[in-house]
Amino acid sequence: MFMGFVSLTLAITYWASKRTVSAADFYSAGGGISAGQNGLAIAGDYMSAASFLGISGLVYTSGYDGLIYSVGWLVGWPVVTFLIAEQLRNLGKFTFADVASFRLGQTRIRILAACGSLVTVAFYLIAQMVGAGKLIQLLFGLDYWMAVILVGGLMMIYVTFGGMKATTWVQIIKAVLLLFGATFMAGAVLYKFGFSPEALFAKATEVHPKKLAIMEPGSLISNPLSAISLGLALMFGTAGLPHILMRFFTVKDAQAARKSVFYATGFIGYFYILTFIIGFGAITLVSTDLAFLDAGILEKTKSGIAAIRGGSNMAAIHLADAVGGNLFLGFISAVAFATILAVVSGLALAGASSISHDIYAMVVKGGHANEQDEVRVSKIATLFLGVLAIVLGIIFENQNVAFMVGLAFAIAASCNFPMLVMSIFWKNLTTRGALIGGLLGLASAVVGVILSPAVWEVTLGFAKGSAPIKLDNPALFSMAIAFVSIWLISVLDRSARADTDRDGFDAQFVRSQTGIGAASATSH
Amino acid sequence: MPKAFDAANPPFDRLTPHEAETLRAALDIVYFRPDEPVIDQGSPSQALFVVIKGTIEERDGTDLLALLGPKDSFDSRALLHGKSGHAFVARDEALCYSAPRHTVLDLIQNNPRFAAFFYGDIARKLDEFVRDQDEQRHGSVMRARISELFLHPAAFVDADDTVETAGRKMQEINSNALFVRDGHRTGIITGMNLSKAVVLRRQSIQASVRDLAHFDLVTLRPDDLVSSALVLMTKLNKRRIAIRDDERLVGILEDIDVLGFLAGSAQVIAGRIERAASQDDLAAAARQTAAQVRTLRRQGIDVELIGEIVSDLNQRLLSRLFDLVAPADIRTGGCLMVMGSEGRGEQTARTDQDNGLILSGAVEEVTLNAFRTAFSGALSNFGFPPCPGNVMVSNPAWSKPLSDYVADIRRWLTLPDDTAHLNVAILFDARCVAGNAALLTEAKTTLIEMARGEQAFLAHFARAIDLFTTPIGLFRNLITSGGNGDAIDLKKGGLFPIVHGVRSLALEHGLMETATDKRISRLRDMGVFHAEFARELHQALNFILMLRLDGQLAESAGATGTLVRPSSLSSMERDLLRDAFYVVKRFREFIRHHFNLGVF
Repeated sequence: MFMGFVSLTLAITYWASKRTVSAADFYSAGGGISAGQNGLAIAGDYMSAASFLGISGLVYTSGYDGLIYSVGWLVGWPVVTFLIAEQLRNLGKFTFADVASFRLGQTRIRILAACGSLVTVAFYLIAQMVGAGKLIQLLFGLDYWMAVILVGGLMMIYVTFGGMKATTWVQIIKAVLLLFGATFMAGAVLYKFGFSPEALFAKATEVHPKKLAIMEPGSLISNPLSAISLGLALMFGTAGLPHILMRFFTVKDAQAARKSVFYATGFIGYFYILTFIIGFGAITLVSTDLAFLDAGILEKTKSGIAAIRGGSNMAAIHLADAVGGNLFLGFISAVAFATILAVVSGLALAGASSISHDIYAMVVKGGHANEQDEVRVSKIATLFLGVLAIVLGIIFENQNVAFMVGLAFAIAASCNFPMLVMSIFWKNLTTRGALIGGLLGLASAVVGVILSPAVWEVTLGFAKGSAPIKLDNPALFSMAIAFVSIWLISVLDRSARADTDRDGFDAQFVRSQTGIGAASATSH
Repeated sequence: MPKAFDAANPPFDRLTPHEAETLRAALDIVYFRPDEPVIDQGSPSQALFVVIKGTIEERDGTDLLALLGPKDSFDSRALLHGKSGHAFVARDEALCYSAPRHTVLDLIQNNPRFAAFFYGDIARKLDEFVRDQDEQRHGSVMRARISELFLHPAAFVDADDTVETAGRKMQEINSNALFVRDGHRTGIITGMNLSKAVVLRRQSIQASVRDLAHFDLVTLRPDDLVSSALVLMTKLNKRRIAIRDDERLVGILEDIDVLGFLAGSAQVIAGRIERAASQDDLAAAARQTAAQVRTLRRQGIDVELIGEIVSDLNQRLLSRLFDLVAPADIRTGGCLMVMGSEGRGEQTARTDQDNGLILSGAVEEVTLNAFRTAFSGALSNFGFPPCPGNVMVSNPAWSKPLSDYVADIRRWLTLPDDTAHLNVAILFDARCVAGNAALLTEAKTTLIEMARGEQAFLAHFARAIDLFTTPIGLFRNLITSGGNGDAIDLKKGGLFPIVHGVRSLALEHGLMETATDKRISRLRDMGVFHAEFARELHQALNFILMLRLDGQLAESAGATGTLVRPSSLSSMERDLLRDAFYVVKRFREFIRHHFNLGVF
């Protein structure tokens, strides 16, 4: 069933990509992708396995607190709309490395930007791999590590042979399928409760071991600092995700970019409401049905919530089975799998492009790389990312995928976002400031992640309570470090380069607000 | 021992006569029933097969890749690598020569040129092909028939007619030679005979032509070979040959026309254009220019060279027409440009009007409109069909002052609408043919400056290469959509991706060249392409252009003139086309990567 749906999904995607190539005339691609299409594509890029499997899983285990992820992610979108989308499209640049080096010194900024992108991509990839690995493990009964290797291998094949074709259409199809599937699932859950959310929540509080606490904040994130930190990461991380930023490149103009974010926000918001219902549906329908529970764990913990087969990430998948039977289970699994594949290919594309273009061509070869070598490097980079994703995916087996994505967002919010937003809006930003500040932000975020309880204790296996940093998400302090150090060092920077950087701002600012002007402040 | 085996069929034409004999001696004839497999997919073959009769299907699994007909040989891979890439199955009853494997391997070992067909990289194969064509050139010209040449009309005067009558007649039929009837003998008289008589021998113009004519006529028939005519002329020191069909004299063949046929008559036409005093004179020259393409091509001249010769003639023609038609202020203050394939100097059998005008300042509307209609109208009369996209001087959007173009360019780049990319492509390929070239240079410089560093614009621009797939599969197989009557679109599949991809790179790097091959060389010099890849790309382009031109000349290429049926190609050409498409595929990958087209 699953294989059938996967083939069907791939076939539809293939058909869609063919559709784009049978255009009637030369050049008809001229107008770019429409705002509506791009909105769906952004939603497709964004509604990853993490959102779908992870959030419904978090709601399943923690109830109301799972929503903090949804809300945080949704709130990130206005940030993108007002601070980033239009400006990025007006500047006409592909990656945020290109934007940041509009007026700043190319080489150094590119190294940093590439590092920021790669670390973000790596964490994001881990989340997808874990999700996919769990899914395959559950469906085919394979060992987890085999499942992860299988998915990683598929991803590399998909990306190297033709996965990069018509990415927009792949994302659009995927978004539509996912929205449809989730709508159906949420509808079916509500149907069981006579379309009364109250009945649903009443039943959920009754069967959940935490009882009424699942309707109150604090069961997942008890510490207010943690909550703020997580919220910051989710809000500002979106604007620093390399594969999302690339999406503004495909539309015709700044207006279309802004519109497409508007549409995307609508789709994504709707989708998060669905995941919330799905999570509660899983509490009521999955945790109470022995077919979905692991008898051994149930014996030990007496809790249906903890005993779910395949871990909390699989709550939505079991729910599909519970409300729609085998057929719908196959459909939802296939959509989830295709989602993962598509997001992963988008990420791999972003990562490989930053390795081949920013690091290899601009830094290693000093801007004189032969394009054909660059193509080769980008292929090798894809393979490298695939292997890396597999290894990390195995290490991080038992993490909730939404939580992992939260870490990726924390890194994006601490390195990519400060650099991007300050280079667009703050005249006094200098190369040195961006470089050192960005590096400090990146380093503190990564160190914060590693020393946090979730990674230090759960993944790396140190004793409980031994984690040096008590915050699960480092964004609060790492973002502060990034912004403050960028500001401080830029202000203190008296080098000749700094003057050039500041002089370039006006041209860049006009360009970013209007789309008119030269494509580079340092045109020779 | 099949003597009928045709050793002139490629690649066997590369064998020495002795080697060909060895091969002949070893040949066998085999018969296949319908649907009988000749070589199974993935298995070795003990022989090289050459189809004598019937059709062999080349299949990959269930996909039909090609139909091999008489003289096609297969399968080098099964022979050399011991593993056939595809299956070969008889479609209907088929007869094939089979050449034993060891014999062919011996030949390959001893004859590098023969071997090159079986091994060898793409570029070398293409080179070999060009060299073969050079060798065939004289052959093909010499095999032409007299009927294909231009003949002066057969006009008669009587032997009793006067010098004056003969002179007037020559004037009247615009020919320099007449037949002279004298009883039952027939002679010939030329303008030179007449003038010598009158000027040198001071004869009266009333004298009869009997004593001036030559009655030792040399005659040939219309289906005799051109080479016979050349031999006779040289041997007998004659400048004219009478052409006789049965008993009737049908025309006079002059040596100048034979030479023109051999060498092309570009010089003659160029002279005619320069001397043209009216549009009628130009119309004649335009027709001759169009005929040149066929003449030059049948001599086996490389398409690139034909392109150069013919676009030079067209440029002279347009320039002369511009001088004749344009009023003084447009002539001095305007720049006439050609665009599209004409701008790139890319040869096609039929040239559309693709032209425009840049003015240095405003010109009075009435004058300008009169010029627009007159110029485009004259070109239509010359036989240049109007541009389907209306990119012509007659369209005000393409004949206006420089400042308007500059405003357009700004709009195209900052607020691109549906036609912006097309317009940028058109203007970027423009080449000045008459008037003030500095105007076009300035327009293009503006375009290049505006586009500098515009990643997003350039990517959207380059994206058009993704509109059509290149008809080549994962295993380098040509993809037709099945069945017998399928054709491959050379333009969509090969030409457009190369031309547009190279154009996008050229725009990004600010190149002023317009010809695709020159752009490729410049990009190579700038280090954008590896030298090897630049050569392959260039040769792929040339090969596809040549196939297109041949298709157009044979009028078999459908309405667009760019369709080619794989079954109409020789298997060697098919191989080269496969290789060319493979290069295109790699080039598209290159462009996709360079402009980040993966995100679209």
